Amino acid sequence: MPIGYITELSYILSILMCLERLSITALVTEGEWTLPEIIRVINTSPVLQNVVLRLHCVSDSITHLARLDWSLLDHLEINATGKHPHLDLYVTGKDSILGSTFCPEGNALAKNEAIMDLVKQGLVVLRC
Amino acid sequence: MLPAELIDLIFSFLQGNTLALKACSKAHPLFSRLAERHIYAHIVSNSHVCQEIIENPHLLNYPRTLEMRPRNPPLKFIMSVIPRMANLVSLRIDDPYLFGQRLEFLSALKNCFQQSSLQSLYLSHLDRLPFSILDDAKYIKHLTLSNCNVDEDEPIPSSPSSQLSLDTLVFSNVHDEHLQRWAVRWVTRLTLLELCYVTNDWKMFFELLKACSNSLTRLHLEMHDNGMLSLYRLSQIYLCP
Repeated sequence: MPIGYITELSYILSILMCLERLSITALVTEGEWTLPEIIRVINTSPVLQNVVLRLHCVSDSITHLARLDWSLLDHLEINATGKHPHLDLYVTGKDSILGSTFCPEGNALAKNEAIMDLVKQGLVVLRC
Repeated sequence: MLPAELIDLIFSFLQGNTLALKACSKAHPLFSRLAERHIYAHIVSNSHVCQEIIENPHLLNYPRTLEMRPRNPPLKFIMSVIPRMANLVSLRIDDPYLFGQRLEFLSALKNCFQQSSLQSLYLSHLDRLPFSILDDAKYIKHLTLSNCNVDEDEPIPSSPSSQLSLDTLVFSNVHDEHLQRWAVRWVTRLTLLELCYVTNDWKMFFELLKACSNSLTRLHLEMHDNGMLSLYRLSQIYLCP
């Protein structure tokens, strides 16, 4: 399922009054998802504290992922807990399948200044 | 000689290493009894295990988890002794019956639900499962349904409410809208819901999520079931434990 369909979740998350942790595992294929949609969905959840995104890149989708405007994550709103939800971002690719210790996908994202700023602020943890 | 409690603790670290435990059990008669508890803590049903149980009925006290693999030959025997496994916590059943065994299996499964220690149930590849039998499973707190579908002829009762009240519910590869209508009855205290490869239409789960909206604290969604992701998950399990 393309992660773009995640917008439907905004209907759902807004009614989950106690939801503290949301985790999503998805394949990322080129052009099928957008960051603003994810942010909008997260912002609908009243007391969400942890978001875990496990994204597995196929073919060249990492290029698409690295080009996204990650500074948009600054738009995560402070919710009823008085805090921003914290994001754990796991990125893997075809080399991870073979158990390689070197993950070019993670490396590509680590070069993205906006995402590294978020990591420095403690809003995002990047893992591969 | 070390006290039995310490030996027991040492053996507990060997759980899962049956060869090592069996070797230890041969070292001393006391070790044999202590090691047994750990050797049989997790069992996968097969003819060999069944034969051991027949010869040594006291082994029924040891299993905490029991796994039944697809089309398990000793199905009838193992289902009949589950109610005597006093410490069984988790039961996993995958594609259990051959043609003609369905009713017999369902009746035996219903008996298992009387067991107060049994808290976790994993059912996989069950066709036309009559969900009313789960209504009586008052001790089950964690339920996983994978590749299951509902007997659509079975009416969903409006009252009384189900005795089954879950903490954790996992749907994997389930595309049956009827199933969701049954599950609404079990989730008013649910804290964890996992939806794996379920559908493209999340709205289908709206009623289910509404039913647990005041208790659910964790939601996990797993999308895109294809060979690539399955391979990825396997790599996570076997290459990056």
